[in-house]
Amino acid sequence: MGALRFLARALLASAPLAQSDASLETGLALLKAGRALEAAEALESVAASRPSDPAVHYYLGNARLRAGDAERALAALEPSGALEPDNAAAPLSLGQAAGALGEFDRAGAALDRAVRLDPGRARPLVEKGRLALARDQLGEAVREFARAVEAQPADPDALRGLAEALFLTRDLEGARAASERGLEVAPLDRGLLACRSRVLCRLDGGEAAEQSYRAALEAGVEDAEVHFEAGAAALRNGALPTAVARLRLALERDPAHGGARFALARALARSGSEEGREGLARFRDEKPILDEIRRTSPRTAREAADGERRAFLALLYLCLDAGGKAREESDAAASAQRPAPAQILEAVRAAVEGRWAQAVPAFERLVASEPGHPFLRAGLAWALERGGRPEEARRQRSEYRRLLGEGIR
Amino acid sequence: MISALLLASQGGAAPTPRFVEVTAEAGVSVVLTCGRPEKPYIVDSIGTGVALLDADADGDLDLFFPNGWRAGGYPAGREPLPAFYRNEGALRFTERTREAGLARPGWWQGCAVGDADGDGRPDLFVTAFGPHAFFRGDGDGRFADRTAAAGLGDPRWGSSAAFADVDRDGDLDLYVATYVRYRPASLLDPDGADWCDFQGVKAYCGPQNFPGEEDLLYRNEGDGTFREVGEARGLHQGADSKSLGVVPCDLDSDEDPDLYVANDTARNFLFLNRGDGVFEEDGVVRGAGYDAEGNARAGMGVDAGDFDGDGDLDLFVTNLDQESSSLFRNLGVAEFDEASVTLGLEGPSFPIVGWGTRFFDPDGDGDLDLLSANGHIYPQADGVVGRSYAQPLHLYRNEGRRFVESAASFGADLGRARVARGTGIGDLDEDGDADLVVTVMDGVPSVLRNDGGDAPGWIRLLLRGRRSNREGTCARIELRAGGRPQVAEARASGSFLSSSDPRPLFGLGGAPRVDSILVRWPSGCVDALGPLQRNNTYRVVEGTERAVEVPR
Repeated sequence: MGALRFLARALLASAPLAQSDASLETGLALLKAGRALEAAEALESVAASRPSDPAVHYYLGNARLRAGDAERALAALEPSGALEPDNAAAPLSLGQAAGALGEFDRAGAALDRAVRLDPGRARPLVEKGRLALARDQLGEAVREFARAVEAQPADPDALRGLAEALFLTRDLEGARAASERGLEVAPLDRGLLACRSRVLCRLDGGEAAEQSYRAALEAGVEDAEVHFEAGAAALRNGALPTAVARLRLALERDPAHGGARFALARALARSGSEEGREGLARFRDEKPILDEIRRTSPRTAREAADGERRAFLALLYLCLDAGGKAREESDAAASAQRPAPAQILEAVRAAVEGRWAQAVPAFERLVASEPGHPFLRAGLAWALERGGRPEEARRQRSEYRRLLGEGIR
Repeated sequence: MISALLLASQGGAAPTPRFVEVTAEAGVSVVLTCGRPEKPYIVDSIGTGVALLDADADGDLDLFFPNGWRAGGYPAGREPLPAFYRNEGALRFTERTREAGLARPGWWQGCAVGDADGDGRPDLFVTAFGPHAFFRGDGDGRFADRTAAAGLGDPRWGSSAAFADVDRDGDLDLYVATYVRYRPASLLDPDGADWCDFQGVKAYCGPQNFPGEEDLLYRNEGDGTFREVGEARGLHQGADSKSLGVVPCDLDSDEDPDLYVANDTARNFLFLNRGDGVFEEDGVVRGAGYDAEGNARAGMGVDAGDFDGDGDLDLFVTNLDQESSSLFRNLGVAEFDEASVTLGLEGPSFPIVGWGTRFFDPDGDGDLDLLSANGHIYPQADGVVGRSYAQPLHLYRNEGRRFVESAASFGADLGRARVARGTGIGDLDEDGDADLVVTVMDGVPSVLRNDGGDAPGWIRLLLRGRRSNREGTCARIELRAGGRPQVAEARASGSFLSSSDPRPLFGLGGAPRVDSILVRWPSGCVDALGPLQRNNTYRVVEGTERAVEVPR
């Protein structure tokens, strides 16, 4: 409702200003077409020429938010909210932007304001639920999504959010009911199909689970979690080849999926494969790396311009033998707004390209510069292993374990 | 496996007994304490355990409660003390702490009971945040402090402990689980705090912030002294060692005690005994180190039991909320599958923080149910949506293919919310069913009497080892009644900070008699017994092939 009010006002206000009017129309059209970055560029000049127009700031903020630049989105949304304090749209977007930046308190305050200004709508409550999930506040998330469903019982976003939150709290029957209700409203919603598949696979793993997994795949769901839950269900049911195939699919989508790595190793081990036992034995060393990726990934996504962070992520993926992801992060590190330091980039790129003669000394120099860093040790161990120096790799791995223990002080 | 599960469910028609809170009538009134009520330090949140032991050799179980302390201490004369209660029969206890020689203040936590010197009288080991203590029992309800003489006063922060003859030399060795490396109590500011963030609320900083502490294994030298041999026996595991629970049991069915250790925020340890008291840790590869998704959980309490009737011992570990408790099903020779999802335990245990736990048979139907005593780590949980400090006990009833949380069907007292910690299980009133004792953080413990669990019939064994350790600890009992096989090990340890009734008690599920019993002693000796009449206690002396009825 608030956003519509903005649209009307922006078009009215544009009448006497022909040039900015054209830019505004272009910007809105681009935004509607999903070309957020171009939309933001078009709207920049309009916002500069109409500093007291809350609608223009609002659209600029949204364009930036959709383009992944939450920081600059906030800068545009703040004046929009200040210029029109009784409109719920600006605080709603502001809450999303602050949440994306990890400014959770600020996000919470903005979303509370959006709820107060627009009490009958599900959307601000859905955002509150998502914020609670980002803060790992599962009980709070369930409560907010349930309020959203109460406000608008046929809102697919609210039902999807509720289903996902209930799944995470392991209220599987509740999650099933919410996802099925959501699919009555939006039968092709991929998020709901994915959620129902995960729920049913965990709930019983029987024929209904298989059907829902197939339905999700047919709808184009490519989520690692969906493959993982289906694989884990097959493993629980003793269908080992099926489990292996599905867990491999999960790892293709997300090589840092710890559950899938572990379950795949277990499935292979139960099939009598030596690869499985080796995978389980290796998992202890991989686990801190997986945890580190999980811990740092959201921040890396927020700070895409930080090349050093991307290079570090590339190193972690290397240690998991996830060459594709490592290459992706290494390329991003090289071209980032703030490129990674040459030393780490050199090591990572040489390793990605399989140039062990260069990679090993590059990692050694890195370790020498920061001898207490466990993950640099892990990188060196990995490069030594691949470079055909297993004894030295073993020593570095043992040092990696020791450093991990010392890190807790 | 499926046939075993189906068989295990045949006794499901047994009437549901009730657990009735009888604490006040029983005369148990000690107020247990552990740190300040707002729990500003990690040590404040652990709580205390309980021991059920026959300290005065009159045939029934007395109670011992370690008690805690707080930063800055207490004014003279107001120090909390441990409590020893003598069982006078008919579930009446009298407090005899001073007479027992146990009125020693300290930041006590857990306890283990075993006949360490083989004199037929149970001895008592008490863990502490500070030096541990060892009390030799003289069999008439009194104990003598033998900590220094025995060499058992290590100052590392101890949690649970367990006696077992790990090197099979005929006496009981001692495993002490230690938690994290933390500053000593004397350096804790009475007005200070280690605050961290918990869901936007300040709460004490958890174990992730502290390095682990290597656990201790004491070899019984047979002369009243013990020698710490943990590193030499393969038990040192570095930073992952943040242990809160331990259970010694034969997990690979090779007739020696293995050790399973629950760690908080780190992988659990599965120490397989090579047969000579030297261990190899293989938890991750054998499926009992992490949960099914490869995550370390916050392991607290632990127990072992053959819930599925397939003849090997499975493992249960209580964890933090939003993790669920873990049931590791033994697939044979110590290969495990974390089966909490399949067995219906994931959802019910997701919202609770579990501590004391035990496989036991409260309804006497012949299969093992599961108890989990619960309570959040943070008092501040009351300020967070969907969480609470006090939580109900859970009793997961074994329904063959699944466990179903059924505390409410065992009476309102069981499901009442408490901030529970240690849990001991044993037949306090000698009526043939298992009663409960649950310690409560900063409160009076709960004594819960089982009314009706004996109805389907029962049998109890009093073991006496000759070549094996005197109490027959870790002896394996294979019983058959009404066509149903049951397997158990004689063991007081397990759970959390606590020691339970060491006498194996079996529910018979309505079977008119016990058809046969095999007792496999730690020495390798096997006694074949039976048939035996139900509703009796029998004494079995190693190597005699006889079960002698013990008069009531």
